[in-house]
Amino acid sequence: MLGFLTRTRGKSRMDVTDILAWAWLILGTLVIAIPIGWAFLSSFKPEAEINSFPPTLLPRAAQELVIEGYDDPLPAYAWTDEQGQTRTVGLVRRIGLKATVVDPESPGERLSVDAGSIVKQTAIRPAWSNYTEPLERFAFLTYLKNSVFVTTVATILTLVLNSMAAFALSKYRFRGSTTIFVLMLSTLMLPLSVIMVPAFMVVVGLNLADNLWGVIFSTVATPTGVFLLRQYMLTIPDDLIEAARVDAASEFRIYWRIILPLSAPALAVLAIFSVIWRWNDFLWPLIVLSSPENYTLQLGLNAFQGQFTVQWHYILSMTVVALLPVTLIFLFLQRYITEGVASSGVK
Amino acid sequence: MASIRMEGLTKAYGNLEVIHGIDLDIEEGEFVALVGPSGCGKSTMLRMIAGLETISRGEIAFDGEVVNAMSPSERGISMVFQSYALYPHLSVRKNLSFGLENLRMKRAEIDARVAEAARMLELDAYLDRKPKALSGGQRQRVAIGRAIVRHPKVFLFDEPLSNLDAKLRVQTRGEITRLHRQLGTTMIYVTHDQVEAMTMAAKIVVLNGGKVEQVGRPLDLFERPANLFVAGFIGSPRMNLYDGRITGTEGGAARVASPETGELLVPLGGVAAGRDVKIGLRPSHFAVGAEAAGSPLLLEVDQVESLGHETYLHGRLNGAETTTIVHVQNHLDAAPGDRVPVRPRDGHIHLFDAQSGLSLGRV
Amino acid sequence: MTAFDDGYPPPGRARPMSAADRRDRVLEAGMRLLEWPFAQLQRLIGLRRMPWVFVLPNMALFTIFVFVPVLLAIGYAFTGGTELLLWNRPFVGLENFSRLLSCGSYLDPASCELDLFWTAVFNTAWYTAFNATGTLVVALVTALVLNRLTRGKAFFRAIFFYPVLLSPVVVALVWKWFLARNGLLNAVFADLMGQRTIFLLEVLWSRFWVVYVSIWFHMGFYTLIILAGLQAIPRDIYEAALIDGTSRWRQFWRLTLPLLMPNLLVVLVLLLIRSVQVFDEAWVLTDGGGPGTSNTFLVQFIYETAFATDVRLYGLASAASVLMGLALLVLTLVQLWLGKKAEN
Ligand SMILES: Nc1ncnc2c1ncn2[C@@H]1O[C@H](COP(=O)(O)OP(=O)(O)OP(=O)(O)O)[C@@H](O)[C@H]1O
Ligand SMILES: [Mg+2]
Repeated sequence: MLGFLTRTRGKSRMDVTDILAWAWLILGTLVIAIPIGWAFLSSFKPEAEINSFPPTLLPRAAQELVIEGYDDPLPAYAWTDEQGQTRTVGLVRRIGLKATVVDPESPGERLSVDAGSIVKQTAIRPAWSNYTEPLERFAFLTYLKNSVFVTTVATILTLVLNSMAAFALSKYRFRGSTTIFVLMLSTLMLPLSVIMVPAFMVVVGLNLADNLWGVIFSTVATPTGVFLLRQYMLTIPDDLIEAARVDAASEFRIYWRIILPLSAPALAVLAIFSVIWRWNDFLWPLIVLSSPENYTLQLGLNAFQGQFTVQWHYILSMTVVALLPVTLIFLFLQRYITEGVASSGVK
Repeated sequence: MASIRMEGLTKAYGNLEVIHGIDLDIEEGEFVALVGPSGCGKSTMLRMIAGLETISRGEIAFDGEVVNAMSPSERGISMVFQSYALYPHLSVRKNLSFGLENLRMKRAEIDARVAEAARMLELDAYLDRKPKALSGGQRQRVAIGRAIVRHPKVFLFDEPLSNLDAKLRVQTRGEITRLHRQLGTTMIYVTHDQVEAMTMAAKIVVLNGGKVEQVGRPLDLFERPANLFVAGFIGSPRMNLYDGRITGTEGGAARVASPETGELLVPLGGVAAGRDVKIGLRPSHFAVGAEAAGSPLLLEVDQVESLGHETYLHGRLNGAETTTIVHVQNHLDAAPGDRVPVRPRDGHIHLFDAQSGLSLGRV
Repeated sequence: MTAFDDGYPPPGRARPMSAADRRDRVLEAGMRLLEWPFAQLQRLIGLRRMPWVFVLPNMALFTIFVFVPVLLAIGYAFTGGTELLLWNRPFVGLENFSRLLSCGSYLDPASCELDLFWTAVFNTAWYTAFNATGTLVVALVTALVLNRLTRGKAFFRAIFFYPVLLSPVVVALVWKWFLARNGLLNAVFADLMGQRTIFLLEVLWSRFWVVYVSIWFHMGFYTLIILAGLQAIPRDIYEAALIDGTSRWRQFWRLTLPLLMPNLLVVLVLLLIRSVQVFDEAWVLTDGGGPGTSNTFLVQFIYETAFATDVRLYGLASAASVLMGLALLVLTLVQLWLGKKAEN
């Protein structure tokens, strides 16, 4: 490790700036990792524990013992008897300073002991119910389905429509092509917040308000995607297209069999971005979708956390669910993403 | 196989006309080379024949049928591109079969044709490779193979050999000629390399600035160039050209004079004295040394290129400014500074009108 | 022809139909299905008009959902009432703008007719100032540090970039939990400070955390852009400086910074543009701009005026949008200008 640390800049010794640089990197890594890690760990804590203070690091839950003759499992306690010996027992009931316990070794015999001589036993146990219950009891399964639907359909449409447009704008010279391209580019910087109201009117006018298609259709014609794909397609030699025309390929076939396969790297980048954009979208769905059964996961989460009683154990688990796809994409396709961003400046 | 007729073929990009009304007939099964300097419109013309470029005016007919409005595939042509334009994501097999699949041909027929082309071009070993895993020469053959499988009526080549090294170029030249013999298909071959044109084609079309300068058999172009341009373009090293003038006529003969050649008496009728002409002498059409003993013309040698079996002398004739190149069979002992007697061979003097550039005849 | 003996692996001989062939056939059949309508169209309108067919779907959606709204946006700002459909709305001239802009003193939001708007303007202004400078500094330092790494660069770059990909809601919730009364921050610092702080309910703390979270969220993106700029600086300049015995510190001030300046300016303007539009994560983090209106920003004002009240004042919201759009337009033009300059 030290060898790795000292190897910066190929120098034999570390100087002050090296130490500061590494301090910055490590600090930064902690600042980024700790809140997310904390939310992740907390998402496995049962309700009782999540609200306790000071918090524990790992999710713990009361241990339970299954003892013969008792229908339900009994909470486990460590009992220190008069001789100073400690045994694990199950608590039957507690009244005032006395507690009734039973030793799993001799299940028939109930012991009455001092409440002060027993200590509750806990064990590390993730509360999976944090994850299952919101999906079963609340509408999170619906939100999740809506999000998956919007993300998948919008991404497919984005890829198809943008690549078709990019094909036309990169491989044909036709009247108006420059105009179209410049018009698209000029809106690249146009923020949604400026056209919120009229865009909503259009959605209402098309009868797509409070409808997932309203979210999908209004987001698929991304100028960013067209731009990214067009720039890539410009690098495909025109000769290939002419060769295909001589080979009796229809224009669609040229698009499908030649252009699309050759644009695969750019399509992959756009697909990744599109999935992330649509999965994370917030303001526009917030405007378009009004009834809870149409909420996406982001909207559902926001609504849920805004309720009067804040149920952090559910909120955090669903936060983790919302963060999971993006994290997985990032883990596996990290290089495409950072390089795509660095080369095209899109986010 | 098809015959091709072009009439008044014109191409304009906006206001810029790059092909100016070309008339040309190509016979069935003929191997025609289009040559000309860079930018003269060879590719444009070929692409109009292919249907990749619209025709601004005039018409093209295949076997008498006007094809102006037809798409490339409907014309039944195939084309080999300078860059080969192989589909990089498809295997060689798929590259060959792509066009046939587009025509909705039966699978068995496709396989048969691919196998046939692969055998002809010895591509069997590479059928499952991607173009990237092939050498330049192999790619070239795949490109030709892709043209063959469609059994086209006309083959079009656009400088297909320019990406190959010299040795492979000579070899492939032979292969394409052999292919032509074997298939008997009409072929149109664009090149700026006159050696390719001379060795391969039965007919050469010399283009310049979007116009046809001359059409003819290779030897005709060499021996009887119709104008100054063709005279300068065909033949390597190029023809020596001198500014001259008709100084007098004597019956069926005329006197021509230039600073380089002095006065020559040539059997040429129908020219008036005082006319400005260009005198053209090919380097190989000089008698040199002993053969030219007694000639009043002396070549002042500046540079000697000796290739062993032949020699090129660069120098100035009669002390004039213009450089003259003289070609000598076999070895010739000469050194810079020498004055070597030379004499133009009779019957190999080209005369052109200085104004129009048109040939006045070879005398 | 000669056989080419070129050292490639031996050839596959003619084969029976393989699984790949079969798959190809299915794909081909599927493609034919998609191709059919396009091929018919091509036959009908000719090859030269086919590009229109390819741009049309994208252009149609683009026109409907981006272009038409841009054209309508101005219209809304000059109409009143609560009707959504533009043609049902009465024309009110400049009334919306005059309401937004009528103030006793522009320095005191309370003296304005629409005090919430001016509060939002001021909040957005300080947020933009702190967020833009903060992000720029943090991103620049991170980029510089990453740029000197010879190993582990990709790893750390990925770490710093990761938050950029998260959704605003997720980021807000992660931090809300971190800063909660029972959160980790209180667990660590409560002893130090003597009591637990509810960070997001105190004006100054909440403002601090809104900016902090925002920097945390987005800095990775700007780091990447600055890093690209740094990597574009030719190495030999530094080598020359090294030979001259220039100190690291001088190298930074005299070489790196001036060479990076065009890039940094573009990043700064981009930051300003994005900061002015702050909404999502701040809105969720502060439960709608709280405490009180200390974190109410412009976009929130627009959103709530248009969509989150019973009386939907589309005209007023659009007028505010137009004003914000103008500010953004100026910034965008500055950015384009800077970008042009940086290219030269
Ligand atoms: N799309 C175009 N727009 C305008 N002018 C063009 C266009 N394409 C070609 N030209 C012009 O037409 C002329 C002929 O071009 P062409 O490609 O046919 O030349 P070429 O004879 O094939 O030359 P080379 O030997 O260099 O390939 C050139 O002067 C060229 O500049
Ligand atoms: Mg050419």
